[in-house]
Amino acid sequence: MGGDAVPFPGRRALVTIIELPFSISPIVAGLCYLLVYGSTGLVGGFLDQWNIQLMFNLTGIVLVSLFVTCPFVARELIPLMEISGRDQEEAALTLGANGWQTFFYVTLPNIRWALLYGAILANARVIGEFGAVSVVSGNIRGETMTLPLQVQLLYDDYNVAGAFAAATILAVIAVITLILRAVIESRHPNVH
Amino acid sequence: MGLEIENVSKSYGSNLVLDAVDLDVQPGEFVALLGPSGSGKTTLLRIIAGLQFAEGGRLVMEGEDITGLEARLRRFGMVFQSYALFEHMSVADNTAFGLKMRPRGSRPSRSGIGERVKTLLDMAEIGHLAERYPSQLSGGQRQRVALARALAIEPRLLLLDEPFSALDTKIRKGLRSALRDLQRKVGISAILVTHDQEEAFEIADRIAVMSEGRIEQFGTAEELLRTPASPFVAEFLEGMANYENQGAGI
Ligand SMILES: Nc1ncnc2c1ncn2[C@@H]1O[C@H](COP(=O)(O)OP(=O)(O)OP(=O)(O)O)[C@@H](O)[C@H]1O
Ligand SMILES: [Mg+2]
Repeated sequence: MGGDAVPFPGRRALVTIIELPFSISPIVAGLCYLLVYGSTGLVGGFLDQWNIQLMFNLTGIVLVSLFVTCPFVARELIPLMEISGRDQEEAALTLGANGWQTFFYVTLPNIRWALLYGAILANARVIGEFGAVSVVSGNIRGETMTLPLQVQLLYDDYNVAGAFAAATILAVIAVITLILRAVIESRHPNVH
Repeated sequence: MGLEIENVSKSYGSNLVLDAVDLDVQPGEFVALLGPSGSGKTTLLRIIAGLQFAEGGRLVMEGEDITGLEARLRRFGMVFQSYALFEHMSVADNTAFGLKMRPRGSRPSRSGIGERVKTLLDMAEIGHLAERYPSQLSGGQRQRVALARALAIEPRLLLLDEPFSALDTKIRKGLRSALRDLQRKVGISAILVTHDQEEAFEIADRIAVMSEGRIEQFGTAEELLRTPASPFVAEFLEGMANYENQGAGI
């Protein structure tokens, strides 16, 4: 459609923010989250009044993991959506579809492989994520543990065998991810 | 009645792309927007479709002011230059899309949709391709799917943006008359954007010649040739005089 593919104002800033986690250390990302959402932080302090706690629990881990991994998904999707343009979405609108219908029946099916690919990469990243998660999880045994944190914990407890066992699981997950990635790449070469 | 466009203006920044455009399309009429590249044809068509909005002016369809109405509520069928077929759907599913998206109350039954799709595909002479996917079609076949899909919603108006520009001359001629026949059979008004004088002359009842965001002249092919309203029109249609002498299309 050419004409309308003009970037909206602020696009650059948004892309920079999305890609920020690529350029800063995950530990810094974790610290930022702690500063903002911790009980003494700007947002955290406010939420604290309502008895909502975001840090040192599963929510915190999920939030910070999302922050660290969303650039992987964005990197897959943005170029694809730029190439395919808005034609099909506009066609759907003229045919009477509303915004949700257009998204579910037209946009989503068109990006599904790129989305899956991005999700797999993000998954690989998040499973191994240590820095950011270790800051916000609070290391509560049996509660806010992730595999990499467990590896460190076991190692610090001089349980070398246990640490290696956990590390092996991580390695196996990594290999499975690689295989999935290769499968998608071979079936849908245009995704990447 | 039909469609009335009054005083529509549109600019991108300081670039005035449409300058107080007036146009009307009578019921059942075929109008061509003819003009050189960059004259604002696509912009005008997209404003009519509701995919873009004008800064000034009014659009009235069958007496109803639709200036600010969303595209999906206009019930105007649009055929895009790039076809814009849904690549992940079969030809039949592409054609059924508009009907399937209707709210439950006004949606035809499953078998009703199936029948309507079959009728449309047969009418567009692509009934045998119903189960194919867009990537398995030729350009001309894709064009026919795009047309069938647009007609499926029983549009009040058919909008076509250079529908034949990606096709070779021979297929183009065949499709042109197929389009004209189909439009007559359905009895629908249509607006076709083109920069091809011959195409406009052959297919349209009336032609609006556009230049730099203005409609220089709006009339039948004969009127344009006999009494060009400006030197631009005369020059732009140079060479078409022979066409009239052959008596074709008029
Ligand atoms: N999104 C946009 N932003 C800025 N300028 C635009 C935009 N879309 C179109 N224009 C400008 O508006 C003018 C008219 O464009 P339009 O696409 O309507 O022309 P056209 O007559 O359809 O040309 P063509 O025959 O090449 O398709 C051009 O000068 C174009 O550069
Ligand atoms: Mg155009």
